Amino acid sequence: MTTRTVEIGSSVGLHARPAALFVQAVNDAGVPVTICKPGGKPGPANSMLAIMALGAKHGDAVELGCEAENAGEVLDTLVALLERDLDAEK
Amino acid sequence: MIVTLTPNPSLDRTISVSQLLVGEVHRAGELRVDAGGKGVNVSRALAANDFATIAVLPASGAPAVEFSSRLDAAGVAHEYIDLEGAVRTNITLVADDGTTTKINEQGRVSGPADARAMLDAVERHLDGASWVVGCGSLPPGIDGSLYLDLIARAKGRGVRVAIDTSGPAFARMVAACPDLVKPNLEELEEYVGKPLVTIADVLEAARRLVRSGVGTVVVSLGEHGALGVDATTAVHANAVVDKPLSTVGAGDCLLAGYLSAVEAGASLSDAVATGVLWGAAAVALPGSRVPSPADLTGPTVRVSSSLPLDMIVNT
Repeated sequence: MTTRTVEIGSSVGLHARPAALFVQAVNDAGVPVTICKPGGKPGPANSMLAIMALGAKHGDAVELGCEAENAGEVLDTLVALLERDLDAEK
Repeated sequence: MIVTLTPNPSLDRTISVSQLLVGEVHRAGELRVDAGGKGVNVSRALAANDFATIAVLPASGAPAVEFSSRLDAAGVAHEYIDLEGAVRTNITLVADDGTTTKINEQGRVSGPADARAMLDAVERHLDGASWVVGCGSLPPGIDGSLYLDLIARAKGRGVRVAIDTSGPAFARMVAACPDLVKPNLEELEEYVGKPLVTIADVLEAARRLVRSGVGTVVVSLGEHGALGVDATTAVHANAVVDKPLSTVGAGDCLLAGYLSAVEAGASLSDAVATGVLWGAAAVALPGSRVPSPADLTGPTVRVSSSLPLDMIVNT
């Protein structure tokens, strides 16, 4: 399992629209990715419900995990996405 | 971008009275005016969560100005079709003991020219749209063919269509095979012509719609959550709301939440659960207020791993 920890860059947190963009990116990656708060129970990162239930606010850390062969590459892309202020980009 | 069409919009005036007595003169207490109509509500919920949307509706004159001030405050982009008298005034009287009495106007007496003007206005926004949503009742003089034409025009442009309406309009538009319909329990019962008591009954009725050519059926079941059915899958999700305040517009928020997830490529199960989350969050808010991101972390949604077929839903 490859993991990455990242702080949420979006000013509104990882909610509705930023969550949708993130879920879309996970689906585009085409491999299973998990997400949780550090020490929490990992949930599927391609689930809008799991992301909204996470309630990650701006500046909160979240942990991404992936077991695919290209995990490092996939997670780096997703980390870069989460670091951005997705809400400010329309 | 999700485009909504509200053919029969209203300014909803909610007036408090101490006690409602038929035939008597009443002193109005608190007055609240909301921009109403199902499509408008869907757009308000999407905009509150920063999803791109535009509300298309007929409005003219002073009511259009009043509508604009409310939609602008809610951050909802909108386009009007200039039809005089199209905005209804719907009155809700709320007595101190919570009893509510509603008086809904029918709407502008309309004809085929009005319908064409509405469809043309929608079509101007279909470039780059992911979904178009036709919502709510129809004004007198316009029959269910409005939604049939809406489905045809959207499909012709490769845009997916969701319809949320009732009665004869519902039965008619099914023939045009929309991608999504979102009946509530009563609307589905009316369509199949018999009472639906359990999830199994609702599932059977929803499957009938899917067999008729509807892509996905999402049945909103009030406190019993929602059932989503497509050609291959069926999923049930519900949420418990500790302090329900108002169910007004909750079904519209459910639809908005569902579409927001589908737009992001979510599975049926995830989209239905997200819809239930938005609907439950709306129920926890007063009046027709729509949930914002902070409100969406509240409710806990349960997705049933196997369908609770025996669950009674008509209570």
